[in-house]
Amino acid sequence: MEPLATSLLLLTLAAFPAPQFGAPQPQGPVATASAVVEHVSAAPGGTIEVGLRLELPEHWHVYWSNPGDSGLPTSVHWTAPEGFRVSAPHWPAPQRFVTGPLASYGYAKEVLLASTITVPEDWKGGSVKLELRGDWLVCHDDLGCFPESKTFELEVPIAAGPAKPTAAAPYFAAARGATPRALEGGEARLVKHPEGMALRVRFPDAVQQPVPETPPERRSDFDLAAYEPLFFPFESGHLEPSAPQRATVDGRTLELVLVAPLDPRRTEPGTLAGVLVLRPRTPGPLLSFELLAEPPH
Amino acid sequence: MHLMRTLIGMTAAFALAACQTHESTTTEASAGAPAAPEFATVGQLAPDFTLADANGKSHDLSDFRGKPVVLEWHNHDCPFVVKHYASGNMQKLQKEYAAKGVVWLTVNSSAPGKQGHVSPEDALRLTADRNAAPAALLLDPSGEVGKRYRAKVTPHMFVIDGSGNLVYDGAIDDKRSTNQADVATAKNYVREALDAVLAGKEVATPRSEPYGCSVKYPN
Repeated sequence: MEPLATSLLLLTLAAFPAPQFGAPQPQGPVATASAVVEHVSAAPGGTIEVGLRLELPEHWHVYWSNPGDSGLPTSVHWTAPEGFRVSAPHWPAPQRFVTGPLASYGYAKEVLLASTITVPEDWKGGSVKLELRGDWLVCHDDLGCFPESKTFELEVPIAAGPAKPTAAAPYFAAARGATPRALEGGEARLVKHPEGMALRVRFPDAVQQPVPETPPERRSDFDLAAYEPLFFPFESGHLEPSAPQRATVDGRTLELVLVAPLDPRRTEPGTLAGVLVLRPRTPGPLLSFELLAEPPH
Repeated sequence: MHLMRTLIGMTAAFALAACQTHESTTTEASAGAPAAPEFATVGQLAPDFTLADANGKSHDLSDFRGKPVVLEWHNHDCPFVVKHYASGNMQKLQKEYAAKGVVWLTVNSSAPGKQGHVSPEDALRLTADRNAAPAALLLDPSGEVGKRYRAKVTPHMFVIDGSGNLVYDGAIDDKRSTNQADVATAKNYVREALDAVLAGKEVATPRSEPYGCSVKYPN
């Protein structure tokens, strides 16, 4: 064996020591976690974007707010002094990971779960101390799942006037681009279907481009057929996560068949809320919308 | 590419199976002596199966007719399973209900090379090490039985009554977490279902959303 190959093998063995039984186990944390802020300071009465960033090795994933068939939602908990308001995390559009008859909803490679913190107008301190606790389950199809958590303390200067972006600002811009928005000028409805239900979405002629560098007011035409649609419900139990979602496009209207579970754990929803992700079939930014579909007439 | 095709094929198979079961349910209603459906559905006969245990002994589900049966989908390395074994919760349930005549079958559907796949010897050693007390530890490395029960996670729990009907399909309890401390405050659905079956009553919660690690089926 070549010396290089030998040392690579040894490195691999060191990272995945022989377990007592079964598949190899990772040693140490799988995800690289960091606490990030978008700007170097925040103004009294203003807001600041903060977040938990997770970077994952290839073939590993963490979970969305609805994890799908298995797993646990990633949890982000901020502690700030009294008077500060912390928003719920802004979840970027999830991905679906299908393995055989099972599917998970979540994120691979990297994700930023950002929250907006509002500074009280009368905050007198020169800075604020924030604490972040992140808990996540990180999973690999073959090697299994590992619960991980990390606590961070950070101090953000509070000062009037504009603040410079930090080195982490591009992550926030990218996460905003991938965060579902309301479907303004459109409509979503549930339609009866033999296999469960169909989600019928009527799009307006133009939708807001999510690309970070595009001015938010710019709207442009888009071709529905250029995207692969996938619907992610906020609650589990209404549809079979791994089932294919057959799509038909008729002009500005998209219809997606949502196969119901064989033995549904929930009764038919009155309304169905979730995220519709339109992933471009050729490289490009995705579009995602938060939908509340009304029940059939 | 090959893997991708296999995945698509399996998804299609699962969806197809879903349609077939819907049909078989409707035709069965008119039959005199209903056969168990191919896929598990609460309120119907539980699908029969034959699996070898870790000692090499073969078991048919129908061997246990007359006694309530618990099916516990298992992967010893899954943190959700660890929660219920390290806390002693699972072993306690196994022993308590064995004493009341319940047959507890632990089923391992982890495929070779995937997390939780163990040799029969290791399976027995793990059972002894953790002081677990299933009536049998069944090995299902092909995942065939798991898929017929649509077992999604470990631990995914099923309760079958003495007449062979599936009366519970879902989570072990109502606290989706890997935290052992949650066991004490959780509502245990399996306990509830078994108590109802033993008392000859309806199971109050026949289905719940199971939580855990995905069952490590073959690719």
